[in-house]
Amino acid sequence: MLEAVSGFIVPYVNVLFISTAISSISLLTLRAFNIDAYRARTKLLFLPLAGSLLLALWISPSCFAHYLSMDVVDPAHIICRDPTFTYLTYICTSWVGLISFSYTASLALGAISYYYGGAIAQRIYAADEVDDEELGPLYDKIIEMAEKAGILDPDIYLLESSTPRTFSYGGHGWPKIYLSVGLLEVLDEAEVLAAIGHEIAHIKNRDTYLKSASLSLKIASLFNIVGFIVDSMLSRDREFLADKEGAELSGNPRALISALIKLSAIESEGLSGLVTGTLSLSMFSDKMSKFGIFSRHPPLDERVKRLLAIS
Amino acid sequence: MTSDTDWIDFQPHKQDLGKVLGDLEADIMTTIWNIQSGDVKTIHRELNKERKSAVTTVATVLDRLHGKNLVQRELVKGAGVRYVYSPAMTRNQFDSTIVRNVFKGLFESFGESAISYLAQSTGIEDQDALEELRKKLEQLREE
Repeated sequence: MLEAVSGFIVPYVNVLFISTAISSISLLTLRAFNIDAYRARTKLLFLPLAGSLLLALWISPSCFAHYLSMDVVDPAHIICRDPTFTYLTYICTSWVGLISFSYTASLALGAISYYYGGAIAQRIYAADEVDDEELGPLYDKIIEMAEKAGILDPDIYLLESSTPRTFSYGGHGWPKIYLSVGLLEVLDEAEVLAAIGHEIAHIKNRDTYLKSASLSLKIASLFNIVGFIVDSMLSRDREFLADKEGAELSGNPRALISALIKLSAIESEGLSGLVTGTLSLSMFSDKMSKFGIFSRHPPLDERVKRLLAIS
Repeated sequence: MTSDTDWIDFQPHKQDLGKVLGDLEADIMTTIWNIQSGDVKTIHRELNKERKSAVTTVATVLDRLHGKNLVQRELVKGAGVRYVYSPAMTRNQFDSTIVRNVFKGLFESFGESAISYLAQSTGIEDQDALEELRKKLEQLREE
């Protein structure tokens, strides 16, 4: 019995310990990195997440082998002889079952987020595609910025909501930009363009792919507690990068600063419902984890400080 | 269950529209009744002639007023997209709604005292007229 339990626990603790150690070392190494080297930081942050996934996969066959080699008269296996519950018990209790479930679920969620995230967002917000006649001169300016970023002309969707909100989805070949009526109401044209520049930069930097992959790894971080911190840190870095490159695209960092300040003022006034950052990439985070190591978006003052430095 | 008039929170010590609306809500409603219709930026511009407020605050309050069914909005596309807001009821209809609901609440909770006060303050002394008033108020309570 003891052997069976330790057969499950020991590999788990091993994986947990090693992957947490790898992540911690990488977090410590980050301190030596230039704060503006976003791309290098992304690679470094992604490494422990991917590493812990590989580690868990590497260890699982040995656990499986351990499970099979156990003596059939072992008390832990008595329950498995029950013809009705054999399979269920096997899946539920075995380490292999745990690994299979967690990785299948995380891969499935990552895939859903990647392939259907846009469609889900469109459905939730009842978004309609708008053309140049409906959107006016803004449309051409958005297309101009997309061309400057080297991506295809994006499909632009309008969310019928008074909550100011913008987010993006897709890759270079299928870019999608979402913006709400509320955003057009409270921001002036320069600010709207700066906000959309930020979203185009997300597409340019392939953040949809990155976030889907990161989501997969984060769910699998049952094997790596530090993974949660790493994933949030990675997400914050991508926001800084999108701010920087978005400001270059719109050529107006100060407009992005004022858009950020206006939108955060609205958030504090209670217009809620801002999109969280997994399925879609929004300009703002959810309120729950607004600050701290688990926040997926950086704090406003830090974003403003970095934008001021390049304006 | 919620009703269309759940937003009425009567505060007798306040002034004018402030008795039932927040300060900024009252000013924005007055602006909308004056201009009849306009988008957030127009309403903000008009309002700023009287008091200073941020466009983001005006947008938030307009959204709240829309939630209370006091303003309606229409999505306008073409040369820019925006909501155009207009009053959901005239000022007279608004006043009637308030009076009806406040009176109804008073009679429901303080029936006899409310009738006595009304009779006293309007100078009704004739018992028949008073009975007539009581019946009418009873009808109002049952509505």
